[in-house]
Amino acid sequence: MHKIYICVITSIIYEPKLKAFIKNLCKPLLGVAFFFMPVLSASSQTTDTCQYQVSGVIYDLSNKQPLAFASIQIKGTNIGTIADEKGNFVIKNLCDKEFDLIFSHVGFKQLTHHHDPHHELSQVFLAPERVSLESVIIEGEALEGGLNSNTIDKLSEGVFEENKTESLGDLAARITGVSVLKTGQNIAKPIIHGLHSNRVLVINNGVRHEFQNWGQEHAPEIDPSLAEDISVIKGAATVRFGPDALGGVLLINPPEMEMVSPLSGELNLVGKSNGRSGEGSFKLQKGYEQVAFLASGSFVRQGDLKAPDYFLTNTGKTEKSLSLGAKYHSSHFDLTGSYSHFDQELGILRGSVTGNLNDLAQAMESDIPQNTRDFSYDINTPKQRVIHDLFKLSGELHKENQSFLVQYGFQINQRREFDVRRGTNNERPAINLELFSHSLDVEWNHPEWNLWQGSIGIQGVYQDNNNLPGTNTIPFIPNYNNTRLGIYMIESRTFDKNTFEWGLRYDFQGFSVRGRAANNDLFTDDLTYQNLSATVGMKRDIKEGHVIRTNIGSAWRPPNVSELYSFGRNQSIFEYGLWRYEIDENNEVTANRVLTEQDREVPSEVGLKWVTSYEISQKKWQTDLTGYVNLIYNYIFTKPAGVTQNVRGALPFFIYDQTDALLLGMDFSGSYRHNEKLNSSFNASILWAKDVGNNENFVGLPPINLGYVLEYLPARDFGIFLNNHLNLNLKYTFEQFQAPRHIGVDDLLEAKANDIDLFEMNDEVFDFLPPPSGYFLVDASWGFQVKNIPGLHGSLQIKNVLNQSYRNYTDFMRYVADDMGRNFILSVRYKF
Amino acid sequence: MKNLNYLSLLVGFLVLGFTMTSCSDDDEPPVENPEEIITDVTLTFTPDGGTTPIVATASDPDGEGPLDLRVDGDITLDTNTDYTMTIELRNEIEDEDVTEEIEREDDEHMFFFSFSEDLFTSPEGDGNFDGRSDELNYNDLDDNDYPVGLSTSWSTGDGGSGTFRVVLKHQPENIKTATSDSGDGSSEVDVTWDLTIE
Repeated sequence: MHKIYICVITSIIYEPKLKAFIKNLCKPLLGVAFFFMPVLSASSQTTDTCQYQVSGVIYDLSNKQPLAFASIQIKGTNIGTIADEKGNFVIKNLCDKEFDLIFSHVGFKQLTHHHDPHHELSQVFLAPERVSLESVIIEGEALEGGLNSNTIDKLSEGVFEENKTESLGDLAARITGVSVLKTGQNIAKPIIHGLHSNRVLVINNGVRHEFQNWGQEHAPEIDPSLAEDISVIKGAATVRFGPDALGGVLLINPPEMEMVSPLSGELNLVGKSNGRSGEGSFKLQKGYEQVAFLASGSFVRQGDLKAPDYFLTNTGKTEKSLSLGAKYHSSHFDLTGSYSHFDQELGILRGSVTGNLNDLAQAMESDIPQNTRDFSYDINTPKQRVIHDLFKLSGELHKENQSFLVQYGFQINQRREFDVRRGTNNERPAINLELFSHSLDVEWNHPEWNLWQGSIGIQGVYQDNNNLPGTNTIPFIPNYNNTRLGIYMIESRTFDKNTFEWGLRYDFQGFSVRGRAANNDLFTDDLTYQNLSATVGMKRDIKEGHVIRTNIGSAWRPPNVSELYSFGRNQSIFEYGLWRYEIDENNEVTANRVLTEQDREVPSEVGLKWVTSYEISQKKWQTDLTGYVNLIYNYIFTKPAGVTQNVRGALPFFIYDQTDALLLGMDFSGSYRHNEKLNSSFNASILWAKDVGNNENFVGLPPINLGYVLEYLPARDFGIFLNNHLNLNLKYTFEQFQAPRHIGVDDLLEAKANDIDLFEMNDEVFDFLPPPSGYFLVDASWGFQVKNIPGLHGSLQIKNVLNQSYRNYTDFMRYVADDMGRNFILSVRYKF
Repeated sequence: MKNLNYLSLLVGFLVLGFTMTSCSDDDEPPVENPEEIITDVTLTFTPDGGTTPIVATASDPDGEGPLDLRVDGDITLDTNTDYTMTIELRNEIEDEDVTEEIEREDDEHMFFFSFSEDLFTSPEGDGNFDGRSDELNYNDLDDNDYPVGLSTSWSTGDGGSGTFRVVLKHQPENIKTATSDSGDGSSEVDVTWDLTIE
């Protein structure tokens, strides 16, 4: 019934053009509702017995160590227990009734949690009274976990809270092994173990975030300030999440909607000196016996950012986001509906616009970027406007030993990109794309079969991508419809200290493509792909506090439309997709024809990633060492193929090709508690990668980086400021020693003028500039609460304290401008 | 029995999934008129006194394709003659005259020239590509009284040969000023011809 509901809602909201389309989709959804009904009625027939139990483990939130002897009590009764020295507790002989659990411990914040015996209660984190964080419960693993043997790194609550006004990419890069691919400060994409874009999956609120992920300058349209936490699965979790997860998976979870909770909320206000930005966000939450609600929103207005020596003209942005959620809960059934909206307009550095190699040479040579002006909030071309809407409806049915989950997601992604163009075209988007994605996930967590626990699921996706008229440019990528269906099974079994795991998945994907060639001729094609993926893994609790996880997983992705069909200029280079160029017998590249599968076979990328991690957690220290090997067959990349002279001048052109890639690396993180007041933590990540097909280096790999954080928690108050904590964050990024050769613009132009083809003998990838030198960054922060105003938290952060001029190797703006200079950030949070 | 129930449910969704795969539409992308592309540049040197004009062209029929543009013939001018040179820009793929557009948007466009020294007596030097204030005889001005360059005047010297480069810069948003030079804005045309004066 609820399925019909969303169809009604969506058809009210969207324009008539879409209605027919959605109506079509609603037909099968009616079927879903009918499927669901008998199950719903069956669920209410269970008998009341008092054989249930609730169990879990209690941890200290500040160091993730088990917390001994906390007390657990059922509110309004004298039923309760005390956790053992390892934090374990169990309350038996409970009836099939809901109740409130109260967790308490001297020196920690008390936590009340509304619970019923059908939900798994796995981890309870109690926060010490002197930290600003709240106690939390992690219920079950639901969609998140994937695999036990997979290495998952979660951003710690403290770091998340302090930095959640950063972009998603920057925030995720605070996780060891994750770095960030940028096109200036406002466009940031996560790189996991050296891979990004179509090789990293983003799961937002349990739904695959579907966007124009093929573009390196297309960041995920997600506002992390409305999220609750961010974590990264470092293995190839394709079996659980589907194609594209070659590098890993980024998970963004919204706040949990708690039942039976008073109206609570928070208000955040943030001001930043660099960009002179003002940001605000709110969150409201209320839970009743059967329903709970959540609403949150945020607003950002930022002007031109500043490098240490000059303004970065046209780097302002405005961002609005809203998120609404409602949850219905009965003893065996949960129904959750949510809607989120993200709207962003962002400017791209004006000085980065180039038309040919001469322009590029000039832009790279100038001391300050061209067209640099005084500070302004104006956003002119080049700029991007992106709007993303997500509707989600999910139902979860719980039984004693099994659960059943159905989730429907509908996403609309609108992307408009404005280039610097002549006259009235300047007001027109050069790229105007609209992507509709429907997804349906069904998962059954089956009861134990001969000690095997596991789940079986199917995932269906239907997408419609269209170029909207009026761009006055031939569309860079074609229109397409995409249908994807996956079926998977994941099983695990625990023997003593070992947990073994395996998973299998089959995917089918069908594309129907319609595009325009350079002369506006129509081309069409129908493409199908299928793949079998598998994973095996093991987790072993070697001894108290020592855990080893190892997992081998295969992953795949079909070539995306831009890799197949892109054609034309991107700033000062030309790019031709795999089916847009031919090489004749004279080694001459032509691009007059649109090819098909028959002309050039383009097999899917298939990856095999082995991740092993060793975790030690002791009372005073914790470490985590992760190593990985990732072998990717048919890896799609671009390589230089020549320099063409056209009316605009000389421009190099790149063609897409396939090779095999090998990536190896290691992440290390550790922390040490010196005493009650002082904590240290350290992290390092190193990556080595090679195009093993051609024995060459890749361009744009994140260099080695090291980080150290010193945290000081003084016991005393500073005047009216309580619970102070001070952080000093030191980070060193090395120069990339593994960069490919560099060919300067002058060399390219000179060779062209003398009719020498530089790439005929050697088509190894190259870079216009050598990689920037290593740099050292210092951040500092002070967080506090205010005396007599409970719920008021504040923080003052200084980023890039030394006002260091530096350039980031994985930022495309490094060719023309320095990165951001010093930034003072003042934030105030009021919780009630 | 319960398990069986769930299994049948799963199969149900499977069937549903496949019915969903049958959905498809066949929207074709719209026909667009790519106004950005210039395929043909024509220089016309008309001698004062009305003898036959000398025409030089450069054309790139594959537009954004990888093939080089064709620069047709060398430009051969008479010695000690005054010429008026006009520039015409076209997009042959779309059969469109881009010159008109430049005229309309002349306050954000400017042509710069670079040539071998001693070819011309006026302008003297090697052109204004390497310095805005260098000598050049523009015949047209925009609304702000800054030169455009669709029409220019040239006086040849006693003879010689070298290169002749024409660069059109797009300088929107007030980038074009009294002092803006060939380093400002982005290049829309950058073509070099061989030039002989005999």
